[in-house]
Amino acid sequence: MNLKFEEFQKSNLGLKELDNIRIKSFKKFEIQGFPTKKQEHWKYTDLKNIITNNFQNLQIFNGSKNLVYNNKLIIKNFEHNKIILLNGSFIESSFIYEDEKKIIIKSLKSILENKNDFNKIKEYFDDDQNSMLSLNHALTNDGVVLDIENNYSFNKPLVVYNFFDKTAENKIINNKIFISLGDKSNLCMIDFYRCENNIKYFNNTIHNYTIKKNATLKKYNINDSLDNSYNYNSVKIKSYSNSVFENFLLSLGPNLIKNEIHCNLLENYSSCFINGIMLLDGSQHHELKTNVNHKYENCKSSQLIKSVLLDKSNGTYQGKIYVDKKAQKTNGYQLSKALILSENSAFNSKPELEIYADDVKCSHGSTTGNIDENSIFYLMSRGLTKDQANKMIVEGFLNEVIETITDPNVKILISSLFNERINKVNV
Amino acid sequence: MKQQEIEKAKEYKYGFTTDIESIRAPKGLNEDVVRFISNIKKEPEWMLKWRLKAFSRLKNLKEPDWQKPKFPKIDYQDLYYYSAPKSVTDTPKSLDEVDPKLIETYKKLGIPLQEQKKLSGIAVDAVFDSVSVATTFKGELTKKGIIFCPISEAIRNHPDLVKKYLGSVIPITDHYFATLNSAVFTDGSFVYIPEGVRCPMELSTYFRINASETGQFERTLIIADKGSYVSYLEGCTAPMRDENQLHAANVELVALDDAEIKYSTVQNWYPGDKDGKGGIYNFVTKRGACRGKNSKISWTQVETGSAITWKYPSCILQGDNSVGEFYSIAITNNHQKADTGTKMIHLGKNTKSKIISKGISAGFADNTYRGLVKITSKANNARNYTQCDSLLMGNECGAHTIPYIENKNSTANIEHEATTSKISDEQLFYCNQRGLNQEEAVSLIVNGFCKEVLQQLPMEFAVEAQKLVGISLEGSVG
Repeated sequence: MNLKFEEFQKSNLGLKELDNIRIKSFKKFEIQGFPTKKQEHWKYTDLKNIITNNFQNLQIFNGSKNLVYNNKLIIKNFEHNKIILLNGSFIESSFIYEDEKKIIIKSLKSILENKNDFNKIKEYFDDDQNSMLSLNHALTNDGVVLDIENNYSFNKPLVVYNFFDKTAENKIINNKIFISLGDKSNLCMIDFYRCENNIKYFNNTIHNYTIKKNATLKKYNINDSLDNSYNYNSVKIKSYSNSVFENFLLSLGPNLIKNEIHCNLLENYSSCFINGIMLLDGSQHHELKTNVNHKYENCKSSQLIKSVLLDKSNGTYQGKIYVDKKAQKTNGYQLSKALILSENSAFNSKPELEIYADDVKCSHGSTTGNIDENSIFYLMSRGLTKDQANKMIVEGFLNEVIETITDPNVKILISSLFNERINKVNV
Repeated sequence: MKQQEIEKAKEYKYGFTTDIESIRAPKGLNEDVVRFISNIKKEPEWMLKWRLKAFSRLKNLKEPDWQKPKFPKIDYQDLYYYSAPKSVTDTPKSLDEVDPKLIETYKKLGIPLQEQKKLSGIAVDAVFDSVSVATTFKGELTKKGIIFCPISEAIRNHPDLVKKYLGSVIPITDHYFATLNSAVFTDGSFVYIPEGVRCPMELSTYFRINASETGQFERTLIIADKGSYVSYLEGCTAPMRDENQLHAANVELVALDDAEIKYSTVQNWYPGDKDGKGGIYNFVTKRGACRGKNSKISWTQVETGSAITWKYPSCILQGDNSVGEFYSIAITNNHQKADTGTKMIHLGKNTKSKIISKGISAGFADNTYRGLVKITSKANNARNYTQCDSLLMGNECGAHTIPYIENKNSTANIEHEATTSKISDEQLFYCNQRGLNQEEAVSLIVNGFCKEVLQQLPMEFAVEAQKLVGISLEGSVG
């Protein structure tokens, strides 16, 4: 792998501090390289191997001059606010349903150029838990910074479009998204991915969310259209008193995706819900890694992940609940269920509990298996064909998670996208 | 090494053999020590070669470091790898000289006076019951064709069996501690149950006369031939003061067609004092292979001692329809740490495994369950059920669960569940109200929590283990 960092660095010279961070981070990356399965957290996703096998000539994406995106990709019949990113760079935003005075949106590029602004987010360039994060710090040159003021609730969902076009082919794209919600504010947001012409690219994104007192953030990841992309998404959340973070992942599309969610419950009564479905076929490889850190009393977390694996696909769920010594009265729950429907597919799960407080209620469960023969017999005895019966069971199995979505409009949208996909799949 | 030194070492080697009673191997880990051990055990040439192979492999290995309990680096050159039994003059002469705390524990466990003496290392005269018991038992075993002897004896008398099976489950190329053991193991048990024989009694190291003096590097090999059955008990049932810091034993089990091995352990090594000083590092590799069809291996362990317990008794389910079971209670108190669990590797068709693990953590202790369930693509209709429950007592301790579940077969069925909780005030109140004091109440509740596992223990152990559970947690509540 020969990433031409110096070239990138020279054409992106800016604040001295940032330049230093870039150089330092890239050095760290160079020492470690792409993560391999020897690293515990990458045990089931050998990224180095995957990249060498799929990218002959992976290059750094260095901004594109093209600012035109394909209008047809916008979701129709769904009232929403928009933020549009093309190849990781901020293009435009529209908040026609909202009071724009309450919303501050800036491109990360403009912030990286301003010393005062950059100082505010500098701390987020420090985290070097794995080499992908270091690489991101070194190569990020755009993204979005969104601040929502206190006491403001969004009227309509916000869709963050992540579009990719031909210029991204064989490139590694790095960006960061920052969202911060003030006290008592509310946001429902959809992270939506689409790429054109089935191009092959690697997207390395870091999201940082701050959810202040009494605020609610609902986030939906939609990764539904089958494409040839490779992704690593790391989401870090700081939750304060009485806040709610709700995350749903529709993990159907890309060749490779590793979603990491690190949620820190920092104050009383904050809660975190992570639900998701994976429906994989072909040789797709999806992984979800969650890390819910209960750092304070009376917090609640719950995770429900359901997966269906076909063909040669590979699914992984690595969930962790950490309960600090201070975090008494914690309520933590984790459940992973998987159906393996093909001889060549595999599912790995590692539901982990790390508990240092005694007055807690923590449990997890994990099951893996095939469709119950008796259920199929029951349906067939009522006149369904075997294929119909199978499909019905798979649909019902996954729909249980979609039912947990609390926003009715988003639920309809996700339901329809899911149905589209499941009708194409040969169960 | 210079030529001169080699010469010297050679001389030294022959010097050792004169009196095993009073000489221990020189400090340190090197080829000469390996040769010394092999020599003193009067081992044949092939065994020495085997050890040396392990030793040369060891040089390229690093200690694993992924475990949860961290410990200061062990200086392997600062250990004695062979130490002859203590001479009679060293040991206490009567129970009066033994630590009164120890005696108190013995009394609580209901161990007869004669056994107390033996366990404390007091030289006991030949009248001692279990000696004669052991010999009568031995006669019965020989009649059935069962071989039960120290492994060093087996190497000399049954080389074919040992050659065939030693290292076949835990190869000498395994991880650091297993390889270390292969190079320097001093003694252990060897059991062979011939075809179709059901071992008439529970075999136990307890019956073996030199059991209490076996070194820190034990090696146990149990082979159950076709259609046989054996139940094996391991361990000391009373606290044993032990200066040894590192205990790295290897246990290999082989079950052929239709055979069953039941292996029970009650481990109560010295856990260190209340501030976490001293105590044993119990890094044991235990692995069983269900080689034959319909074979079964069942591990039961009650782990209450050791400063650090780090072990994963595992089953490799090769034969079709084979069954692996793992029942575990791990109790950690004060500054004890445990990282234990199991591995179930399903290779054959219709293989089944069951894991029941109960972890109890009190004081400043850390208790981790780590387990692997792996279903390979050929293991059709494999079935696994795992349950691991943790109980926390006090807010300074930790309980962790790290299961790895890897499935590559669409016909397999895997279930895993885990819970973490504490003893509720209501439960305690209920017991107190009925006249039990705090400690009795805790012991009762914890025993109930562990019942599923305790039931699996053979009769001889069950009673003692139950009491042990109570004793290990003394003073942890209130």
